[in-house]
Amino acid sequence: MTFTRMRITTLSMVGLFMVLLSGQGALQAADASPHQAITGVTILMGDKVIADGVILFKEGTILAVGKNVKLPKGTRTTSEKGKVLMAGLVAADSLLSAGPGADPHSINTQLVAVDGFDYFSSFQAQLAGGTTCAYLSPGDNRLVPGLGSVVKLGALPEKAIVKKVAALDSVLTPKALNPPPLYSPKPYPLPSELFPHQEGQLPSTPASQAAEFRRFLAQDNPTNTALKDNKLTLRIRADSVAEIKTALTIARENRLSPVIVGGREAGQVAPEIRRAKGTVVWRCPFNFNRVDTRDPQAPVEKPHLYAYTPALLEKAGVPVVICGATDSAQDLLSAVSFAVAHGFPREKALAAVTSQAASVLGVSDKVGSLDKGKHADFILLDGMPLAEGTAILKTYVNGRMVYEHQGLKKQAQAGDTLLKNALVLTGDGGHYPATDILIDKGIIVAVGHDLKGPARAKSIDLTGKVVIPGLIDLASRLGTHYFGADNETNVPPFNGGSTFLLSPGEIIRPDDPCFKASLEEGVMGILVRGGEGSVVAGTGALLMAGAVRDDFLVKPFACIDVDLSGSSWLSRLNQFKSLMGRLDAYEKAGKQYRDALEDYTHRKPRDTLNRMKEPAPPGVNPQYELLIKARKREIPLFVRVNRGDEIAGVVKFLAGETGFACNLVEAEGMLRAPHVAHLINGVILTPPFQRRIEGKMVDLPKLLEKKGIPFAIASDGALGSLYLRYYAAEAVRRGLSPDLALRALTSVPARMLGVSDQFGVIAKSRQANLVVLDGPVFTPGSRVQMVLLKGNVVYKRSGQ
Amino acid sequence: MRSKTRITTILFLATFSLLVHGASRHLVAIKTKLTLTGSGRDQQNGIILIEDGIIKEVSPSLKIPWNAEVIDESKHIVMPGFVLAHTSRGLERANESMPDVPFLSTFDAIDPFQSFFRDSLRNGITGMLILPGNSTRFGGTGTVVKPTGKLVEDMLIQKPVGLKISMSPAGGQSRMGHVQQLRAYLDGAKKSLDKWNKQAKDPKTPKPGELSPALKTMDQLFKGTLKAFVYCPTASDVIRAIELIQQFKFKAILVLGENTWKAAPYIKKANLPVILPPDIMFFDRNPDTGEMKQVILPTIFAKMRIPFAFQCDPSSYDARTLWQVAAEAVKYGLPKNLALAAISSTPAGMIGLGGKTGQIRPGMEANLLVLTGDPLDPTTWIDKVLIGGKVVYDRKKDEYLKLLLKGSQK
Repeated sequence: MTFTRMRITTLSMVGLFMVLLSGQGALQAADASPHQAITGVTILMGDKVIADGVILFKEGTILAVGKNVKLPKGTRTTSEKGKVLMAGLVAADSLLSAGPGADPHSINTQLVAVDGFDYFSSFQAQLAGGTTCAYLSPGDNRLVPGLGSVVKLGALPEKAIVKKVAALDSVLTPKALNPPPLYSPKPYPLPSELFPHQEGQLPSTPASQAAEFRRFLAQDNPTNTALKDNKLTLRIRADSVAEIKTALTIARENRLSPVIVGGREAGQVAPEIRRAKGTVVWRCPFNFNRVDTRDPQAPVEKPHLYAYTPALLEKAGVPVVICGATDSAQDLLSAVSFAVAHGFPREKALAAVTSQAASVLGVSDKVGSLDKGKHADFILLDGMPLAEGTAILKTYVNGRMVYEHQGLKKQAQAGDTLLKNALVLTGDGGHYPATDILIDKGIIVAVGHDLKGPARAKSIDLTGKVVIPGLIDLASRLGTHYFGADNETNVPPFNGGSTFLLSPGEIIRPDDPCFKASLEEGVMGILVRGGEGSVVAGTGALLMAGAVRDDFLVKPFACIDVDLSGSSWLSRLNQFKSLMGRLDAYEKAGKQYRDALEDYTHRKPRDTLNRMKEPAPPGVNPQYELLIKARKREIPLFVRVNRGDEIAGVVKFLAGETGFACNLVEAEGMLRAPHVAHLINGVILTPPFQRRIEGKMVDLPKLLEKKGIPFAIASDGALGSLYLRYYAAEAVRRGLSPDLALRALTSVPARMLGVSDQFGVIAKSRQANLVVLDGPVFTPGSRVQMVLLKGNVVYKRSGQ
Repeated sequence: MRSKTRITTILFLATFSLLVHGASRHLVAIKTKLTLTGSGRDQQNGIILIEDGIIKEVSPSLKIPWNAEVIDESKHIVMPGFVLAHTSRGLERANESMPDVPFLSTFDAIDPFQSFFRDSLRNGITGMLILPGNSTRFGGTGTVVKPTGKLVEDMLIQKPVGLKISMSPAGGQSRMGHVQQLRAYLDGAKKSLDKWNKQAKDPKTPKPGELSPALKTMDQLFKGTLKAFVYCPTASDVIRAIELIQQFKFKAILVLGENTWKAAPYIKKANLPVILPPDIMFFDRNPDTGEMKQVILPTIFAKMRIPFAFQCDPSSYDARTLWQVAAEAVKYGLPKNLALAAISSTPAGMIGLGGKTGQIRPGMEANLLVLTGDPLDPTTWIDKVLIGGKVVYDRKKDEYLKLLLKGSQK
């Protein structure tokens, strides 16, 4: 009796643990029937599409798929009407089990990748992307790192292994060129040979990689016999044309048909791979899970060059399997979409991450398709897998639901304003037609299709309208001259010296009617800058047109103007250098004071003689304080320079040696200073954009575009901020792309000021300062229809 | 051979004792307020009779022989001494940098003068297994000692006990490589031993030479005379350890890390005893949701009826001593008898002292603690420690403790 009770307790505990592990709410064992079915779904089975289909499965195995499936009595049925169901994705390469640590041998045929696998990880990131099965590579930094395994993700530990030994991995990429010194003591040390010496081992060059690989394959051992009898697949990691060719040659010599993994440049040698009966596991070069931190205006580089590889391989008749850019078996659908966007046939796309992948791994009898008898691994989507915006709702592994999308439920999130169905130009290159923007308390919380705000949210229909971020003018004197109704006051421009410490923001009158005029033209961020002339000419204040009180002055010291142009630029630069010297001395004095104060505050309590005197604080120089901030890149430097030699000398010193965030004003001589381009944060251009430089007509925006230097377009006017868009339109008329022109008015100036986390872009968590136009931004006839400041409509065009 | 020697010795001793007519019998009787026997029934106002270091009788209604030395602890509680089943303290260094060194023995490295032994004795540990550390593959064999004596030979109870095997990658290797090396070594040793045995049995071939020290250890492991203490830091390591144990069929005890609780059903299925990590309660963070969940290890293992022992770690604040770990476990809901068993009889069984210590009943060695109160009450002092019926620790004579207390009163 006691025994039985104990048994039951144990059993229920085991059950409870299963539940804990799987995250499921109900005890499976308690259910009456082992049969489960999902009905009403569109089922994708290779080429076949079954509308309103049913899938029946039991104990992790598919029993039947079709339109009319007879369900046994008591089957637990879930209806998923309108949803799409397809086989779970198979990641043909991953380093999921290769944790930290490296192995001492450059050739190891006994190591099995599954020995490093974490059976108890929940793999939610992978399952969220639909990956249910993955190849575990034994490593990518040894010539022959070992044997790879195929596992299920999210399965119970005892059901995780699909195939313990699936392939022998080898690596011909440069990553495998650093073998450690071999230290291989005999298992049973002898008195004569207790501590054997270290030996070097091959390979450390590609040539010895090939030689060592040949020597290994010529050996007579069980692994090689299995390879030759086609019982074991040979996978070769190779990216460049040279590596792939080496792989093919060695495989041909040994009469093996290799699986090329990586295959970055495989498109170039597609016919050769075809002849060698090779297969390619192509790794997408673009990581969708990482923010691309490259400059939005930087020239489009490498990854896209190889984006056509799968299409080329397919054309040549080479079987292609696609996997994501990371080592962690994620982003398979994104990688496939990427390949399709670059010419890979759409009808073969899904096979490249399911059935084709499974057959390359030698597990197509178990996973990769929805046939009867296969494992019940599948994903449920809310649309066709490659359509825009389709989300994976649920993922099943071995018939158990192991992932459920949480975000969709939460999407009816906080929000007070919803802009619907507009063409959204994000300001950093994004171009999204028929898109919604959800705003909560002045901050953008979501940008996407069919967003659902709470019922109380104010909805504004913007069908046919264009939404851009509020424009930013980096050169303005707005508000320093007051054109009131009655009398005109004129505040003199600041000219270095004492006015340096004064933020222009403090003397500006927010009630200047010019601000309203600017706002109505969509110019919201206005940088009012001090004068020119002195070496350190003044500071600039960032204002927000249309805002009141605290919101009006966004940043009192938003930039420091430095003028190093003109014939005496060398002496000016020397002046600036000596200023840097004084700055160092000032900083040093400050540090000495802090150290002395530290010593003083921690003096011995029994210092009765009071030998230590409290140190006297050094004088505070607010000008130096600002420059120190600038040197820490907290405040950008706006440097006026013109000729090419000036630019080279000044930028090298300011940005290269001293480390300022260095933005150039005008910089006509950019033509002559190409080798410092990488040090420049950005250039501020003011009209006219076409200038005669050294006897040649130069189009400055186009020149900077060609050199890949980001630039902002500014008005440089006392009144004229409102014409900012028209200045840019002029540049567009002369051949600047509208995309770059919009960036030059939004994201680039925001980045130059270091405020792009709040302004200049339409994206999540940015301030909802938006401009609504009734047509393309730079078409002369387009007019500003509405302006939103922090989500509130501050201007609306009347009488349309 | 050895048993023959033993029999001879016993015969000799018996004859000798007959000759001197029982004069060498040393009887000790301990009067107690309460005897926590550890074997079910506790006794109020008990008397424990000890003959030559072995408990002869435990009964409240015992007539104390006239020639017995009487220790009157009738105001105190007496319980079996604590046993520590796994530690790498008491060694100058816990691990050799080479990972495959099963031929090493901690016996050669124990430093009797380390304060660890003095502290252990003060905290009631009467037997402990000192094994090599966890940063190894085959770390070497362990030694069971008592924390008294100036020479390691005096401390020795038995050796070798237990072979340390670690599933945690050693020497900068990857987990995959580590497991492969483990498997290769076990496989190699098994094959070598099979060959050696075959050669030894076959009269036609010349007799093989003596086994190397490493193979001797592995031979004991495969024959079952030596248990493996397998260190598993993660739950996945438990799965792999069980795989190895079942493939090579050796006896094993799992030394667990914190996150291994998820593998408890598999440990139960493989029917293996475990040694829990010193910190028995921790918070497990769900990597997906960020939620923190309190995990209490002993209750999980107790509910699944997996035999478990506690270990302590002098460098941990919460788990400095064994009684502290047991008290913590009771605080978190473990029944008191299970908590006490996890620091006495269960670990004793694990390190081969099952019939000798961990309980107070006839036939057991008189390894006893005299306590001023309940063993899990933090205000209780361990007043005396008896090993083999002899008082080896007396709080009144503990000069070092006096120094410690003086320090705290300042």
